[in-house]
Amino acid sequence: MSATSDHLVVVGLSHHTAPIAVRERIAVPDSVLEGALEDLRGLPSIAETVVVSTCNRVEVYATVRVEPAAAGRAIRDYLSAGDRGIDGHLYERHGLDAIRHLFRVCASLDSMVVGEPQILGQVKEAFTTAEAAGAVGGLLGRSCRRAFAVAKRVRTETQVGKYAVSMSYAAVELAAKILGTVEGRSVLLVGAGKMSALAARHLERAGASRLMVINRSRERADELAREVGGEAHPWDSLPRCLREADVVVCSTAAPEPVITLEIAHAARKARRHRPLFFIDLAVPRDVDPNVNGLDGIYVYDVDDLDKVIDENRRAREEEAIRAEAIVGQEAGAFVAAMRSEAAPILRELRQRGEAIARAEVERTLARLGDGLDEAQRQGIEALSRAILNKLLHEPTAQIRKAGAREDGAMLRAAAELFGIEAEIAAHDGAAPAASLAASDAPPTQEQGSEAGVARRPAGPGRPILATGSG
Amino acid sequence: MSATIFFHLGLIAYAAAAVIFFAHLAKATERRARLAGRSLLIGFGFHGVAVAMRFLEISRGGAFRLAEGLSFIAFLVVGAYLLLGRWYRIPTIGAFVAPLVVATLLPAHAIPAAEVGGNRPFDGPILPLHIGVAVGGVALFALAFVVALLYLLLEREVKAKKPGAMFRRLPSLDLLDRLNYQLVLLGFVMLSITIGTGAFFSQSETGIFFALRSKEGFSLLAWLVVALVVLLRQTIGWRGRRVAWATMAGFVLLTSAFAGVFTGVSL
Repeated sequence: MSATSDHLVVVGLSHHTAPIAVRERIAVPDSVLEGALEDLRGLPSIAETVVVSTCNRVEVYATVRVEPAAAGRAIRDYLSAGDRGIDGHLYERHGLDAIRHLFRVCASLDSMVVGEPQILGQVKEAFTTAEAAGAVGGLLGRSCRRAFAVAKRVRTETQVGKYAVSMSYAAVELAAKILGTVEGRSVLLVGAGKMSALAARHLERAGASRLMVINRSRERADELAREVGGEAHPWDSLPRCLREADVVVCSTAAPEPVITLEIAHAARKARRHRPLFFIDLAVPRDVDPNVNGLDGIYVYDVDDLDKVIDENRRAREEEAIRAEAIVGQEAGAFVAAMRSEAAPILRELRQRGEAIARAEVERTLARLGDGLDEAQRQGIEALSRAILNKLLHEPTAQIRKAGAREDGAMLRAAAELFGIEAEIAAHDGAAPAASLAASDAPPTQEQGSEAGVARRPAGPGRPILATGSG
Repeated sequence: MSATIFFHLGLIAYAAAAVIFFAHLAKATERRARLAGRSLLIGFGFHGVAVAMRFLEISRGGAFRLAEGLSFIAFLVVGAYLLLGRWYRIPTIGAFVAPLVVATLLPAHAIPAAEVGGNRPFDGPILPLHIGVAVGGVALFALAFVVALLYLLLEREVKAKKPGAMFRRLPSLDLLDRLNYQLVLLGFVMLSITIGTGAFFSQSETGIFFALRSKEGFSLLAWLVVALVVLLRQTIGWRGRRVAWATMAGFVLLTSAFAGVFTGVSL
């Protein structure tokens, strides 16, 4: 049986379908991932497989040798290990739906925080592990690589990952919008709250070069300074610190504002009007709200940041609609391209050659009658196979290359040369957007041989066709 | 072929650029930004030919009309924007520049009759220098005006804590502020030269070193405003909102001075 995109199956569960209590029960830690891959490949219905396991999802992607539904059942049984409570949370998709699901996951459209960038890296890692374990062949490998390319396209063409949706990221984004860049800027922590340490770390990761910590209790200031790799300053040096900092994160427990209008005024003058950004994480607030009215000084409190995040989330949702359209189009094009291209030509060519060889061998054997022993019969059969393989070796390689570089003229010429026009035309109709897919895919094994190739990669000296339709 | 045809072709390309820039403003895509930029460049090419042809006519003794002045300024504004694109790629500025240019060129075309008073062919280097630098200065201030306006719009969003259209489409406040000041500084130098050469020219022609007509008055006022901005920036670090407002005021004053060139109204 030849593998097409129809033979791609995904079974799994995610934060959409299962609570954490269920997810943690079937999560596959890295340490046993290879074992899981081994187990799944041991299933007779599975040809290739990739296992993705993150805190929000556990998914098995596979190309299957049997009816997708039957293989899906086998994967479900493996994942739930007979636990009906888990089975109810599992979803299962086949063919185009499975491809679209894979594309959506990689493009971070299926994530808890839509557009978060980690998921792509996690799937890539899962793919690398599966590849290293020899669990990935042509079809699944190509699907995954295409999914990574689609994810990149979504990222560049939409802004689904652009807007910060966590408080710390929002703070960094705002700082960059005001100051141009966080790189090389100085950050001052006023008060030693937990949240301010987190924000400081984000700012530091964004490139902030200097961290100052100031706190009423010098001891706590020293402690936090050590923790975040900053310098502690005594409380009475606040005005000097305000003069030098570009971003100030406040988190004291003071009942009254620490940064009053007068202090801010003085700071602005001392700073020669360089812009200053206050992130006020304290409740009650540390910065007098009127300070925001001063030219060049910007104050965001917890509620303001929350509002920004809400706004960003809405913007991401809007972008996600555009991203979904891209994913849908790409998935359709990919499946269509899989159906067109070189595979059917090669399959047909191979089948014809084999039919002719078989017929000729049978005729010869019939003519020679009973004068041959078993070894001689096998010798004649092997001879015909060897001639066929040698003869088809070069055309097969060329057609495959033409398919990989989407050389339609060459493929048509090949089809015409071998008189297999009719069969190809039937496939062409299904592939209007063939050129969209597979542009980044390396030359792959003939689709028909993937099942075999996945398990035992072709050695350098082996005729490629020898693994065909095996 | 007459300059008018090239002028029209340029105007059409500018208008197309303006439309595409607005489309980019509504929904930012790389393709739109590129298309708009190219459209503007094509318009600039046609416009350039038209300007060059008219310039030749004038230097042969033709009249320097309001239409030419505006057209030349618009030409320089587009040129400055395109040049700016080499360092800062901010299509949102284009979305303001392109319509501004179209708005400048349309009336220039509708009222071509106004001519510079007492007009005579260019003789000697002072008058062409005076006009060239004056027009260049106005063009720089026009661009600075757009940047200052964008700064204020973005600043308002950041202060109001409602990141919206400007927040997502513009670079940082810091960059806009620096860009604005650079344009203003360069414009200030050109304005100073304009006033200097103008006074010299005025004395040699009329014997009066500085006649307080509207063009001199508004130019001087604009110069004072901008000089103050430059002074305060250099001494106490003035920047941001106030500089943006002052820039816009300076441009409006300059436009008034420019109108005065053609009306010759005394203050």
